[in-house]
Amino acid sequence: MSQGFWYILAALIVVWTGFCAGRWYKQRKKGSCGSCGSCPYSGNCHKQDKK
Amino acid sequence: MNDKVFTLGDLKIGESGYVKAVDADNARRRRIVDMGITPGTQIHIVKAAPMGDPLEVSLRGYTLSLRREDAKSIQLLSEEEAKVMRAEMVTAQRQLELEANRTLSHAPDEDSEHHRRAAMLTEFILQKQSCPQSCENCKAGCGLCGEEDELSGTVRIALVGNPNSGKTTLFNAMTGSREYVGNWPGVTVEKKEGRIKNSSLCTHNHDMVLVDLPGIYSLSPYSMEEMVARRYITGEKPEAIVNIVDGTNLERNLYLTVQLMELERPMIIALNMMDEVEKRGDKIDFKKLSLELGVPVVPISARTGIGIEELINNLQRVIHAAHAQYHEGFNIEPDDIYNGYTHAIHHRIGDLVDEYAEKAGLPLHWAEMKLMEGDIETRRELNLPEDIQRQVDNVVEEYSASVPLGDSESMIADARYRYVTRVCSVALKRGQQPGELTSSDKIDRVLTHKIWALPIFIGIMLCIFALTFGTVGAWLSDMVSLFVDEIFSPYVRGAMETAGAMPWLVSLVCDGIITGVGGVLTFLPQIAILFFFLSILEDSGYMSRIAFIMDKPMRKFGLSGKSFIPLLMGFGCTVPAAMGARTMENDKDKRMTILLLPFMSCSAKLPVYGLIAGAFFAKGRMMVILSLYVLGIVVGILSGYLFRKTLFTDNDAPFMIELPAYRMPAAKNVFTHVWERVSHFMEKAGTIIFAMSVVLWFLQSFDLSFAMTADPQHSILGVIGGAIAPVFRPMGFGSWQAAVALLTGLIAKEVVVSSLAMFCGFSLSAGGGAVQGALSGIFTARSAYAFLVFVLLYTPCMAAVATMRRELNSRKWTAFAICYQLAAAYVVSLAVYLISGLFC
Repeated sequence: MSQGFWYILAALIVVWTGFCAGRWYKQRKKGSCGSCGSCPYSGNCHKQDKK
Repeated sequence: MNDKVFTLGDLKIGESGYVKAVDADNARRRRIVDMGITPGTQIHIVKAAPMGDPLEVSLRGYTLSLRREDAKSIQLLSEEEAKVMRAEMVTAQRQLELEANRTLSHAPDEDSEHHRRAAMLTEFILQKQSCPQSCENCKAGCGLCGEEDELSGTVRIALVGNPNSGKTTLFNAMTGSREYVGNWPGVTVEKKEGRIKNSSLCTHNHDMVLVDLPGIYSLSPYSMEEMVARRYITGEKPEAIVNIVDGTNLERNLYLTVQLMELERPMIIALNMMDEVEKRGDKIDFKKLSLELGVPVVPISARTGIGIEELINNLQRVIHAAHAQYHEGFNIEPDDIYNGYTHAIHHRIGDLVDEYAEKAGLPLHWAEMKLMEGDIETRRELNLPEDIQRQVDNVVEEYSASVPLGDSESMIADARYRYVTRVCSVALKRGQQPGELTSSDKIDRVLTHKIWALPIFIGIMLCIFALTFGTVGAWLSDMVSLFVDEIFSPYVRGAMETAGAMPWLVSLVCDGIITGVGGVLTFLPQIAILFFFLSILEDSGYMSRIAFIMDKPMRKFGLSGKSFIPLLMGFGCTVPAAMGARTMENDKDKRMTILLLPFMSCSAKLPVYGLIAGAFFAKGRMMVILSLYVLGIVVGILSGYLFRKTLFTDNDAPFMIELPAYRMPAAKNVFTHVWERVSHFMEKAGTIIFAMSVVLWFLQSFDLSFAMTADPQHSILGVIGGAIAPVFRPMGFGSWQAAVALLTGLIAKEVVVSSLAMFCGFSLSAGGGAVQGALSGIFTARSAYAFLVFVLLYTPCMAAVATMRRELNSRKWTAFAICYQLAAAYVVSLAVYLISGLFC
C-alpha cells in the first residue's frame, strides 16, 4: 500500500480526534457528557432546554 | 379536660381517624392537602416501614407514604366529631350560599351543553371502531375522522398527569421516541417534545407535536415541575391538553384534572391503565365520567401487553379526541366544582382582577381561584396595584372566616375533592372489597416486612454485584479482552506492518487507539449486566419501596428517602442523577443530594476498579469492588451528617410518595434501557475516549522538543506527571503515570484505564498477573487500593461538574463541592494507605 494511504489514515485520525475533542468541549459547558445521541436520560438533559 | 391534640401520628397500625386540620407551614400544608388529606377525610394506617417510619396510610381509595413527623401535623377527629364538624360547616355555609345564589351572575348549568358534547364525543370515539368509507390519504384507515381536514397547521398537545401515570410511555408510543420510562414517580423533570411519526396513526393532515410535561399532583407553586407544567399551559397555550389519568387511582388523579379544567384550555382525558382496572374488577363508565366532568374521556392502556393493534387503536382514539378539541376548542368554566358561596366569592374577586388577568394572559377563573388559595406566583404574575390587592385580601379573609376551619387553601382543596368524590360515585364501581389484599399488597407483605425488608434489600444488591462483577460479568469481560488483545490487536498490527505502514502509525493505532478504546470496552458486559438488573428493579416498582424502606436511616444523615433514587441513579451517571434531584421540593435536600452524588460510584469508574482489583486482588476482586461502593456510600453518609450539623440546619421537607403497584418488567423496556446504556458507553468509547487515547499517545510518545522518544518518562506527559506526582507520594502512588491517569480522569473516568494501559504497556487479556507485573512499578497492593479510593472520591468528570454548577445555581457551592471532594479523596485515601500499613 502506498505511503499516501497511511498519511490519509493518520489525517483522518487527527481530524476525528479534533472533532470529538471540540464537541466534548462545547458540550461540557452545558453540563452534557457529549453523547446525547444515545443517552438513556436525554429527556433529563440540557439539550432539551433549547426547546 | 384533655387538651392534647389527637394526630395521625398517634394512631396505631390498623386504626382510622377523620382529618380535622393540617397544622404545618404553607408549602408542607399545601402538599399534604393536595394529596387529598382535607378536613373530614377518613384516613387509615396501613403499615409502617421496617424502622417504624415512614407510615403508609390509605385514603380516598389509594395509599400514600408519609413520615410520622408529617403525620403529627395532621389533626384528627373521631367519627362522631367529624360528623358534628361537617354539620357545623354545612350550617355555617348554608345561609351564605342561599344569599350567594341570588347574586350569581350566571346560572350554574350554563356549561351543560358542553358536558353533553363531551359525553357525545366520548361515546362516538368508543363506538366507532371501524372505517365506514376509507379516506384516500389515510394510512391508518380507521375513518373516524370522517372527512378530509381542510385546516392544517401544527397542533401542540400537552401531556399532563400525576407522576407515574404513564405519560412518557404514551409519549414514546406515539412519537417513536425512547425517553426514559420507570415505575417510580419523578422520572421526567423537564418538558420534552416529539412529533407524532407513527405511520399507523392518522393525524388528520396536521403536524402534531406532543409535549411531555413532568408528573405533578397539583398546580401549586412549590415545586419546579409544577411550575414547568403550569407555565407551559398558561404561557404557551397548547392547542389541546391530554390529561393522563391513572384509572386505578381515579379519585386522586381527578384532583389534578379539576385544576387543569380551571385553566380553560381544550382538554381530553386519557384514562390509562385500564387493563389493571379490569384486573382489579373495577368498572368505570366513561360516558358518565365525561358527562359529569364536561371533558371527553378515552380509555387506554399505554404500557399494555394486549398487543400493538389495540395500542394503536387506543392512541388513535386519543388523537381523534385531541383533534376534535383542536377544532371545536370547547371547554367548561368549571363553576359546578364549588359550592354557591365559593362561586360567588370567586366572582367578586373576578370583578376586581378581570383586566389584570387579561393583561397577564391568565385565564380569569384560574387567576381567581389561585388568588383565593393565596398562590404567590399568580399574585406576582398579576402584579395588582396595592389597593386592589388589599381588596382581594379582604375578600379572601372573609371567605376564610366563613367556616370554622378558617383556611381558604384547605377549603378549596376540600371542595375540589368533594366534587371529585361526587363524580367518582357516579362513574366508578369498585370490584374490590374494602380491606381485600391486591397482589401488590401481598408482595409488599414480604418485601417491606418489618424484619425481612432490609435483609432482602441487601441480599438483592449482593446478588446483583455477584453476577455483575463475579461470575457472569467477569467471564464476559475476559472474553472481550481476549478478543481485543489476542485477536484483533495482533491482527491489525500484523496487517499494517505487512502493508508497509510507518512504525509510528502502527504504534498510534495499536498502542494508542486499540489499547485505549479496547481497554475500556472490556468492561462493557459488566455495565450491561448492572443496568439489566437496575432496569428490572425500576420497572417492577421496587425502587419506590427502597425509598420507603430507607427514608428513616437516610434522615439520620440529613437526607430524605427521596434522595435515595437520585443517589441510586448516581451509580449510573452523575449527570442525570444531579438533574433528578430537581424533584425534591426543598432546596436543602436538593443541595445536599447534589453535593453527595459524586461519592456514589458512577459506572464510568467501574473499568478502573475492574482493572486494578483484578490485578492486585484477584481472589477478592468482587469484595474489593464492593468495598469501594460501600466506602463511597459511607463517606456520603458521613458527609451528609457533617453538612446537616453545620451547613444545612433547616427543617426537613415533607416526604410523601406513592408506592406504585408491582408490575412485571416489560422485556422490551428492560432491553431498551440496557441497549441505551451500552450504546451510550460505546459512543463515548468511539469519541471522547478515542480522542483522549490519541492525545495521550502523542504526549507520551513525544518529548518537549516534539521529537519521538522511547522513554515515556522523558515524554511531555512524563514531565507534567512528574511535577504533580509528589502530591500523591504520601498515599503510595506518587508516580507520574498515576498522577497523569488521575488528571485524565477529569475528562471521563474510563480514560484512567486507557491511560494506565498505554503508560505501562500492558494487555488487558494477559490476565491479572501480567497486568499486576506491568503496574507493579507504580503500585503496591496497598497503594493500588488507596489509588482506587482516590478515584472513587475525587472530583467527578467535567460534564458532571458543569451539571452540578447548573443545578446548584451557584459558583460558590460548586467550588465548595470540588474542594470538598478533593479533600475527602485525599484524606480518606491517605487514611486507608496509612491504616492498611499497620496490618500489612
